[in-house]
Amino acid sequence: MGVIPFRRTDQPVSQPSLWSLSKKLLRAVYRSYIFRVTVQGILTLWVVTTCTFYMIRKMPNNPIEVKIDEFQTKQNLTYEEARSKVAGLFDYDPDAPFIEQYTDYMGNLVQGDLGRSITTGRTPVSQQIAKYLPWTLFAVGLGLLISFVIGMIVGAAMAYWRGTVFDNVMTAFASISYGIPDFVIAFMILLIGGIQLELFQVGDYIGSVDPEIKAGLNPEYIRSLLQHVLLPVTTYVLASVGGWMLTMKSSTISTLGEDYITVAHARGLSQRRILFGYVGRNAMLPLMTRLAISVGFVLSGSIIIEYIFIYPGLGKYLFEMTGKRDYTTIQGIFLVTSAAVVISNILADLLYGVLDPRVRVGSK
Amino acid sequence: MAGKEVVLSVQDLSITYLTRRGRLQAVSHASFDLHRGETLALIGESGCGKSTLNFGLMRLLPKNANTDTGKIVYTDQAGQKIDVLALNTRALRKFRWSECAMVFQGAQNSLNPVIHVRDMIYDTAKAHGLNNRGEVRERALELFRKVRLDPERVFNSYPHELSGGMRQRVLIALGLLLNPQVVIFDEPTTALDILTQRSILNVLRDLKEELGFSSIFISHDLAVAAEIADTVATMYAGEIVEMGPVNDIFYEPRHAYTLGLMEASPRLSVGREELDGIPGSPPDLVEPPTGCKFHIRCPFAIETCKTTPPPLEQASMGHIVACYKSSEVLEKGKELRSISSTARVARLS
Amino acid sequence: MGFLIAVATIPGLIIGILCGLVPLGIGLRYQQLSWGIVGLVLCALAGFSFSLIGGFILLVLTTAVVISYAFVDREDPFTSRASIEAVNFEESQLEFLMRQMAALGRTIRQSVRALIRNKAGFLGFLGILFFVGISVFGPLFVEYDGDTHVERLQPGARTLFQKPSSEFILGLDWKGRDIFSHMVHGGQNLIITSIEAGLIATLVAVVVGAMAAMIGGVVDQILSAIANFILTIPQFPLLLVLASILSFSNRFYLALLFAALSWPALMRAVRAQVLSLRERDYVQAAVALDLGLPHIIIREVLPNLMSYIVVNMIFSIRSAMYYIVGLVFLGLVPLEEPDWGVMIYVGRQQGAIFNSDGASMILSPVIAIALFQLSLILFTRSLEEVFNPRLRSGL
Repeated sequence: MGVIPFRRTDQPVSQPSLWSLSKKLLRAVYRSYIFRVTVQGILTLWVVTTCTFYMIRKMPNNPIEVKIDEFQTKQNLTYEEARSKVAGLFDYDPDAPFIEQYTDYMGNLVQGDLGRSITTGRTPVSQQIAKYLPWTLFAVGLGLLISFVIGMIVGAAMAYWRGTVFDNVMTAFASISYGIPDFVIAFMILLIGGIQLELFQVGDYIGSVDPEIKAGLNPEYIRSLLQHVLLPVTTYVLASVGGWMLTMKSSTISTLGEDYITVAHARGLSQRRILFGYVGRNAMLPLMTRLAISVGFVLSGSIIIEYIFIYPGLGKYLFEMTGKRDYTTIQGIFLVTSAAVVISNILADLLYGVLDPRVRVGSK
Repeated sequence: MAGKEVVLSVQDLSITYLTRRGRLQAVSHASFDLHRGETLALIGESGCGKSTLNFGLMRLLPKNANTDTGKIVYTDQAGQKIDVLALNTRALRKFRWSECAMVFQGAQNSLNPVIHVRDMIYDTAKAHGLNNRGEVRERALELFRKVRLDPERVFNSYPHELSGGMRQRVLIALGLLLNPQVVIFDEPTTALDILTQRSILNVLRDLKEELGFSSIFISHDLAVAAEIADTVATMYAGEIVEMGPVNDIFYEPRHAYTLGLMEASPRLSVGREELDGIPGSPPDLVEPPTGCKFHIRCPFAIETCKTTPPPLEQASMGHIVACYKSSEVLEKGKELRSISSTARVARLS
Repeated sequence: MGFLIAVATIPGLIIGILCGLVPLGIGLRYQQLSWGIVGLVLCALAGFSFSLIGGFILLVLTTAVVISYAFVDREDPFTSRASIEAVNFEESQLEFLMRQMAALGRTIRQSVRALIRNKAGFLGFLGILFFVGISVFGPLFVEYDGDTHVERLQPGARTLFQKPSSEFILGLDWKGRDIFSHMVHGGQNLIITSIEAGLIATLVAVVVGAMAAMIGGVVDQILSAIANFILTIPQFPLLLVLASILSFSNRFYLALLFAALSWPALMRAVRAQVLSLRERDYVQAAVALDLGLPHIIIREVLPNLMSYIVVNMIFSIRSAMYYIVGLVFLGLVPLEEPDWGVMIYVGRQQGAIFNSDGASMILSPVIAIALFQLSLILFTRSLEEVFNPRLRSGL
């Protein structure tokens, strides 16, 4: 386990037996903790999959019945014909018992096969996800990174200079950023910036990338990529930076009030050392967990923003597939996004353990 | 005692806080001298300004506090006078801890929870120009041994891995790391159990003897103060109302408030079945009462007390008091002492 | 239909005035006429807009305030030692009721003071009042303009969209309809559905969270597991898919669906809070006295969580509105005009984004939603002061 910084002391340990024994014991507890959350995570994913699987087959308006109905009316097929056709589409044998279908699906899943899309010519779902995922990852990830960094710095500064004009202006800005929904910001950018004031040509900034430029690592392509990601990222940043700022501010204020900060001043430590080693590190602790959790939700992105800016991310794709009732794809996307959340939650726990020695041992 | 060299001299120090309701006079016109090797105990109720005074001595007050008047003069090892209030940021940073250190309540989180004890030691040393880690380490381990800690283990621990008493010792060792002349102890034994308290006090006494630093000891526990102090100062509502040698204060208190504190303290009124508290609570320091600030709660109060604050006057050698009725208080104290000793005799026999 | 009604009706006004007679009467009886009149006006307004519910709530509240001005607490028998035998502890039922009402009234007065003290929060409160007021009373003054008006086509214009003018202060939409009338009529449904959704979600979260923490054991484990499970699935995508599969005809079901998906976060917080509260002395004392679970939860635990719960309810209302508008905007909810969300959806469909004449059709609802949400957020600051007794009394 490389994660646990049980650093070696620079002197030989004086009482090896008891101390090293307890260390070993603690490490074992720690390991079993990881083991436990992993098992929990897998269990959660299994429930997610089972639920979506069940939903698709048993819910009113379920897609299979809808499709059968559709084929019956559109192509004038008998119920049986339509049914067999749909069975082909859905990659399963409708006459097989429910349990058998379920075990088949799960069996494929364990091998990494998410099934095939119904509406897009039987392409594998995993392939489709792989196509749309990077866009979302790029846009939302970039937005998250930028707003987190800005939020940390400005939030800490607000706490440090609290009560000043800077703090008041920033708090007002943060409240507005936090209070206004992201799609409002998106519309404002488009309508006011793009159409009313004509600051930019909207057409040049929406979509994924200029189709005339060849993909690759050439500067033009990268420029085009950044140009098209600019509006979604700006929207994400403006919509989420306020939350980070306010959280960091309150966290920093409560850290500044801690005794150990006063003691650090009394010890004559330099301002820089206090700011980074004492205030910053402790103030950031609660935010790191939040960051890790936010990372988990990056994949599910923001459907509305991607839709407004016609950005080809996973969110917009999910919306389209919902419209087409492509349930295998929906199921696949849910599995992937939920997995991201589960994994990031586990990472958040581990990260917290690394950053805060107090929870490293002994916690539940 | 008085003949010794003065290490720290405080003159007419006043500190106010700006609060929402107005100016809060936390310390008013405090003056005292701390001699080399001497321990001065500050006693008084919570909120009487003891801690503010001490934070003021190191200029560690929060931003809304203001030092209105006064002078803090410190004489360093070379005999040079330092005007603490006139120090610039850089010089102040050097002054703190290397000349005057402070030991906080260890049970609270005075230690940064996310870094090792050793890093706190190294940080402190580095801030004062000691970059040789080996030497610093030796010095710290030596101090840990002196405060009766398992040096190696504690050195490499996180604060949360230590008990309250151990943390308190770490803080003491940390305070002595740079060999300061003055150490301020801010209720170092509060919130510790009685056995731990005892061992911390023993450690402190031994260290003082060995290292010879002067100290200011804040406590609301009179028994602890009586044990460790050479001089005792009673504070009430931001003022030093009585100050004198430890035996004078405890055996011949001349201020009604000091007497009240004695009577409210269990271990000093041995034999008496009932403790007498002081009625009422400390005054509002934003709108302090006129005259003597204690007159509302004082059983000895006369008309003058309500209008004119009593001046600090020399009562006997090195014993000053601000009370119009100091002789009555002295008499009353003696009377109470005789009662309690008869009671004790009666119980023993 | 949901459980909230907010339309200005004449019967409502009559109910409100009838309710208002109570504080007025009590005000007359105890020479507190000015407060009695304030009570009458408030009751009438509340009855006018929310009918019996609003009228009755305000009846109780204003009466309490009037009584609190009139009622003088008798001296605390425990302050003087001499009179302790002489004290009469008997109290008639009316007296008891009066004392309770006076206490309530004092709390309300303190709360109002706390509400006004925080300027940002008060601004938020006024903002909410403004939007609710417009939605409730606006229809009385502004007629809904639902027909297509080809005759309003400007010479030379290709669409019926029009920029704001003195005649139509927010301009015309794609059918030449007055956007202002849509703004006035279109907020009500959205606001009410959001509030319903927020209320239900909060209620479920608090009940489940408190139950899990107080009962513990297997119940706790199961409830927590369900909460954790729901938290794992990204909310909006799930809501989107479910809403599209189930295709609701009624917005109230949407509120229910929102509540079903969004209770876990608050539930976990409530559970953690209750768990820590459970260890406090006064709760332990109540347990030792065997006062029963409902009593302990309602009387000992909940008051300590009130500020937290209310603030979270506001957040819940806010995200419900976000999700509902989002779903409408994506076209996944049956479109019912007039509605702010539908205006955005249709506006976008009809090219209002790229038509500088039509920007108002999208911008008006967008700005209204933004301001309403901002008001909610600002309002939480006041709520924190109002529901936290330590903050309420004012340091």
